[in-house]
Amino acid sequence: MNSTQQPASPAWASSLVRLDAFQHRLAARSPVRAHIFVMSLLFSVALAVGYFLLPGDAERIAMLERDGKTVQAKSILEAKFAAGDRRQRTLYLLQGLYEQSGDVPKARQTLELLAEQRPRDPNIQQRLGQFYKLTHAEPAYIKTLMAQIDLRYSESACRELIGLLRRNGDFAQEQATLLKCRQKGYRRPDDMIRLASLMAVDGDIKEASLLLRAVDDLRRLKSDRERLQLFDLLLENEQPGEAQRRAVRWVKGGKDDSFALALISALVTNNRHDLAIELARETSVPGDSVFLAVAEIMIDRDQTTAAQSILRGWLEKASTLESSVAARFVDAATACADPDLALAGAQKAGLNKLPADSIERLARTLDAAGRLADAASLRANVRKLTGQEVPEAVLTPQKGRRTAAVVKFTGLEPWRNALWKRLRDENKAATPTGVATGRNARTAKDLLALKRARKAKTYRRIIQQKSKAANQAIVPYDVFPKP
Amino acid sequence: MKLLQALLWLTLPLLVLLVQPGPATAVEIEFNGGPVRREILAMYDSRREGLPQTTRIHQFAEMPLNWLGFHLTYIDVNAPLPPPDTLSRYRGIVSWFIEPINGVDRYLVWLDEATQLGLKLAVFSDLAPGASAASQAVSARIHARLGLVQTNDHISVTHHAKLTVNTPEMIGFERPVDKALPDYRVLNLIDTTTTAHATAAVAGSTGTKPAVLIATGPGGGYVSDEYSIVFDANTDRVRWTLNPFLFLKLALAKERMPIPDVTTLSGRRMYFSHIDGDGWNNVSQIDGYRQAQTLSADVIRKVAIEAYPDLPVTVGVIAGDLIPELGGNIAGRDAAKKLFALPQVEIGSHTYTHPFEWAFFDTYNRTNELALIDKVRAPDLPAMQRVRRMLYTVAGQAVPVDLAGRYVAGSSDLPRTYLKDRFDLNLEVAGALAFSESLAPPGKKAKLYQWSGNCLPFEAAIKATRAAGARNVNGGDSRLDTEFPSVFYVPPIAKPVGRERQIYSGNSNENTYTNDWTGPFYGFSLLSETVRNTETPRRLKPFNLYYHMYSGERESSLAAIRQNLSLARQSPVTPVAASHYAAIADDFFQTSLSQLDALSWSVQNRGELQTIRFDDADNLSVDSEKSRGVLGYTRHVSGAIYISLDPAVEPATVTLKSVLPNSAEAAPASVAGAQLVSSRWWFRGYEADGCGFAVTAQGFGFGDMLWQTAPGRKFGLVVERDGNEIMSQTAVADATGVLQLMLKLDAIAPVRLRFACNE
Repeated sequence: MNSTQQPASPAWASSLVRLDAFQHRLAARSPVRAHIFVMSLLFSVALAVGYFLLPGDAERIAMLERDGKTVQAKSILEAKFAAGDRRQRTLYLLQGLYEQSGDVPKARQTLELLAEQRPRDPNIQQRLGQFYKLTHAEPAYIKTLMAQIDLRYSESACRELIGLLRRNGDFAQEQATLLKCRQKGYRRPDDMIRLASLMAVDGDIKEASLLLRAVDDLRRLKSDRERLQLFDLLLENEQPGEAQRRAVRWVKGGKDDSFALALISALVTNNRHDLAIELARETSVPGDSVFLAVAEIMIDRDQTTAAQSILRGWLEKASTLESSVAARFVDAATACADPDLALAGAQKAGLNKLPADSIERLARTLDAAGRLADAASLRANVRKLTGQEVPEAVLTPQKGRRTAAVVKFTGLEPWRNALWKRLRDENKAATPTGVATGRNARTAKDLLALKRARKAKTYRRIIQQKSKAANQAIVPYDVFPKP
Repeated sequence: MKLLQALLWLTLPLLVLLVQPGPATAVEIEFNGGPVRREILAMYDSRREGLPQTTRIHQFAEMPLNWLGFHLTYIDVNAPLPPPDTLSRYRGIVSWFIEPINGVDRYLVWLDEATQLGLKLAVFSDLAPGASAASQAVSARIHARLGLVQTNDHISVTHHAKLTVNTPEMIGFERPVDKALPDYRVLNLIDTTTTAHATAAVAGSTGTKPAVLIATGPGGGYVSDEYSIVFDANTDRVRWTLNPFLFLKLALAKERMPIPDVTTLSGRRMYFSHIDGDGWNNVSQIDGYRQAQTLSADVIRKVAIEAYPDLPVTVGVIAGDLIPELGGNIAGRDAAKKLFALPQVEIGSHTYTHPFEWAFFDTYNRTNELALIDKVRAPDLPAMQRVRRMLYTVAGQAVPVDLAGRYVAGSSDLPRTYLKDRFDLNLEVAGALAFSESLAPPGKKAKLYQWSGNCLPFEAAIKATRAAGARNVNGGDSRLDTEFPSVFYVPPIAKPVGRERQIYSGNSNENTYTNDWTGPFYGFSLLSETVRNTETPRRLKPFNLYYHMYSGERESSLAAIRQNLSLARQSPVTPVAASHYAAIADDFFQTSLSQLDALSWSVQNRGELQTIRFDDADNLSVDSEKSRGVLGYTRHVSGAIYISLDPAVEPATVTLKSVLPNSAEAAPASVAGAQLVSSRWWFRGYEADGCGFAVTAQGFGFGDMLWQTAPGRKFGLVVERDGNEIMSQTAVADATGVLQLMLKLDAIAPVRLRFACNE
């Protein structure tokens, strides 16, 4: 830059010159000094800005709430409400403050107003539902849950609604809700099983079995009762093959002889002896409890020669004989009029393992075969074991001995006369007051034990849940006042 | 007109006598004579169910049994069973077995003997699961006494099964039987004197008898397990399918008997309130109180106690809260002194060191406790924290709990709140009561010990309360509302703990209504639902307002307390101190009854219990001429009559007579004195004096009372205290003989009412 050259005056300098001239002119015309005017202007602007920077109602309310001045906050909101303010924010805050002050009717009124304004807002509907639940307004809660499900599928809402309807015994509505929720994608296994049960009662066997099959396909059909129901429904629905296929899987997966025998008995009940034998063969090996059922079914069908052959093979393979199984074997062999085989089985098991009536039955068969000495020896054993004669009633099927205990399917008359005629003594152990030495006792005993264990567990849960409240009387509290 | 009226009154009794049928048949009262057996044996298997208080019988059946007038003696089937020669004092046996029991054959033999001796048997679920062959005949005999025979069938898949008998009074009590019937064991009816209330059969099956699901008969009752209760896993709630009241009544007490009642006094439902001291020192967050740093205890005093002088309340302070040496705050003592000075406040104690886990102290070991403290708490506060604590102290401000030190537990992570000294049961009970008394005006005694924490005290702890001359209360958490929709959630009167008894509170506290004090804090306003549901159709519990001091912290919780207090004020109740209720509850178990004739019973050893109830009593009334120590009676909507007894008369004799249902019950003109119908106060020492009478009264609030006397009878009433007249007025019965009075005076200290009459 050339130092001798004068710099050009900037624009602002000329403006200042003009302002100065203007001030002079103003001063000349009026007594008000220019700087006073400027200051006033600045002050006015600051005032205006300050005014606009003042906290709005929302901020004031937030501050008041923060400071615990809820009464003031509420009165501001109430004033706004009275002035016709129905904005979501106002109603939301007001509702919260009503709750905080314990004014439940007003809180409800406000929340309902909010929900009315925004009927398709799932969050508000959910909040309303929760409020109804917490204030024990059950009919309104149920209605809201229904609306919620209609609006947007929610698994938790479905579960809650179904549970409430079930708890209240409104079975028609429960079934309708189960169907509706299922259509929307609800697949909770327990509730699907429940729906199947309700449908089965209505006679919709096909749909019920489809539902249970779907649950079973996911390996979620766990309890014996549910499996038995599906099995029964499949048989009723003329799908024995499907029933058998599943049965094989269940039995192989569970290793539960009692359950296998129950399934076999169901097949026999349905006059599907061949399938029953097949199931027994598939799920067992010679020498075990289930395989013995094959022979028993054959005896039931008067195929005694084949049964005898199976029994011989079975005895050869059997390693140890449990009391109940041994009794079944002896009975089956006796029914085949083969005292030698029965005696062999009895000796293998050990006479002390056999119930008195089985021994007596065998003794009679020996009597009939003219082997009186063997029979007398057996009877002596009975006396030795029990200290008394075997009561006649025990040996007479017609006198209350032979009904099955474990799992009785509906329409059991044929079943009563079929397999369980051979598995008759099982009933004794199956009943609560059953005979300890009862043959096949495991079947009934195990199933009942499972049921009892589940039931007892439920009771424990209920009782624990009840006493939870008492235990929760432990509330953290301050020893000293909070600052 | 008066002549006509008099004529009517003279002829009315005559007409009644002519019209009424024979008393015994009309009111279905059997005369057995002798003591009325109220004790029931509750059989349980400790291997499966643990302690008596966790058994199904205690949780489900004891409350209905208590309501029917019975009390239970728990017998573990694994222990020696009561010898037969001791069984005569028991009325019956209740069992609820599911899982196989050990020594089941021994149990069955004993049961056979007991039922043969005439003890009734109520069986929920199985008679004796896991019984052996040897017991088959025994089991059959026991079943036969119930009018049943057990088959070996069990209907597991039930979609073709239907209910063939379905008695609505018995089944579908809180929920109908499921549309898909639960599985069931098949028992058949063999006795015509046994009534099957529910039976089921498989559609299409011929030749088989329907299975009995619920039956009652002369020998007792049976209910198939799946048909007693229903549990819904989705909502995690239980409901009764069976009507437990009716079932147990028909099974064990078909004949009419007087029922000692713990819900009613002077013909009105009792009201009592008690506060646990938790949160005593918490500064209230309520606008106005927060700024002044007011303690919750002071807020409660001002808002919920001083404003309601007509409603008594027992306040239990935690001694440790007010003892600085233990880690408490001395500032709370002023609040205690002000509270205890109020006449409507009864002194209680909510323990010394506030145990959370009572069982820990049953087998107490200080080393274990110190180990726990070491595990949970830092050895000592870091230096910075100590400086903060010092600053708070110097500034005269309250020290936050996180700075209180390692020997103060803020929550249940340690077995008690104040851990500095070793646990001493004597100090915990007697010491705590003495500490409370030290803050009270001279002569005012601490009368109630309020269990803390999990409310599961051990036997010695309960014994210590009795030794200290106090009653005990808490636990139970009674609820009967939309959230807990079953009488299952209403507990019995008490819990057996060894040879001692823990009295349950009448209602649950705000903690269960506020989701463990996490909110919503207005939740306790829903107490009214339980109060209503436990009044009708059956009065199951008194009205108990039970809460903690921390309710004074929040506006909504305080509003809920006020709302409940208003409800109490508006309700026709007899307010009593909480220890009074606890005493009545205790005395329920010792009251003995003897039947004198078909319509007359003697009531003895009743202590504080002064109400006897008869159910289904529309056609019954009290024969005041033949009764002794009976003040009067009142009717409840359920059809029951509640008879008020005079504590000054021991034993009392209650004699009933038949009346026509809904007939006018005005006493004839010649009747002496008056009969109490209902009152806010309670009475003792009734003395008839010609047509007038005198009686001593005590109670909270104004003397709102109703007497039944001769129509139009005029009394000159004088009220005296300690022999000095404090009030007099004229009282006149209306045309039906009802004398209604509202004595606007205080009777916390007893007063003598003298009703003079000049006929």
